[in-house]
Amino acid sequence: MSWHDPARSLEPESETALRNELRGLLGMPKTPETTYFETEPTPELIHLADELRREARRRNVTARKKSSWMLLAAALPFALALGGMGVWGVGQKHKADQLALTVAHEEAELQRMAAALQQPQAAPAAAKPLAVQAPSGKGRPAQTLLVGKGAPRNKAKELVIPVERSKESNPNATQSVKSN
Amino acid sequence: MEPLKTQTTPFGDSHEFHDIFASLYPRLVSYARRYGATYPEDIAQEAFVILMQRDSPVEHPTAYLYGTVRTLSLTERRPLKNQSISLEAVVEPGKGPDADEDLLSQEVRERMKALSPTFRETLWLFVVEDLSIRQISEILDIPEATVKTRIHRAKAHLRNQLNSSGGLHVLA
Repeated sequence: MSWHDPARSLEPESETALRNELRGLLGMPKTPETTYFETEPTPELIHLADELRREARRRNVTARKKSSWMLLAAALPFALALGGMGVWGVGQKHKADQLALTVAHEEAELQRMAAALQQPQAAPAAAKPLAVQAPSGKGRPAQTLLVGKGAPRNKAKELVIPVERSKESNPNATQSVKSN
Repeated sequence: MEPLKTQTTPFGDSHEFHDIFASLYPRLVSYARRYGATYPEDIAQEAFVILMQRDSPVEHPTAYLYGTVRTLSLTERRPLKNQSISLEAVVEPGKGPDADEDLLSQEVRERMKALSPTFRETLWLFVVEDLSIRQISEILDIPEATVKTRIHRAKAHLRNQLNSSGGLHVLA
């Protein structure tokens, strides 16, 4: 690290001119013969500079190492907790996967059993229509309840009731005539 | 204790370091005093130690030192003022004006005082401390364009001030 500042030495002329102008406005000499703070290095200052350098070196040796150890020690519980959480999470995921597999298996088994139960019932039903004799009413012909023949399997069974038109006259169709 | 005269450090030759320390240290003490630091010498010394402690090099060491002194001075004042310092108080603190007395004439101080603290701070660094615009931008942690704007506004203020008081004739 160099103490010589490139920003100061590479200062553009416009900045120098601006500084001189401001010096003029403030009533200061435009080009100072001596810097305000120009000081010769006295033995006290030299001693102080060396002391500060020693202090910086001491801090570099001690403080840096201590801080890295402290940082490591502080980070250890967090790292352990994070690791533990990770292991627990993996275990939980494994359990959940197994459970999901068992459920899927059981579901498949149930479906298979339901299909097996439906198979023998569906075969005779499709073979002949189911005829049910409905109880005959007063003066009404016997009605036959027909279970839908050849209905698609997936459709619900329909009960078809044949209706005969009534032979009696409709009371609304008659016209009443007033007698004298 | 044996002085480190022959030793070559990351900061260059010991002689070079001593020369630069001798020129910068009083400036930094004065700068800390301007911010009302109770112990300006301690702050300037701490700034040097912080700079020398660094592993990575700094592009502009002077600006870095000034910036550190500024931060440390403001931090030192913070608990005293319950964290609410006006910029006026910062630039004109208890011991602040004393710092200028042996550096600037009464006339210059009066003209500086007429400026707002923001402009005064920038102008001080540019004119009195003789720092470049880039260095000032690093110290105050603001863009270079802002530094330039502040300097030009300070210049306009000074011009107005002189025109109204007829000072321009005096200067001429």
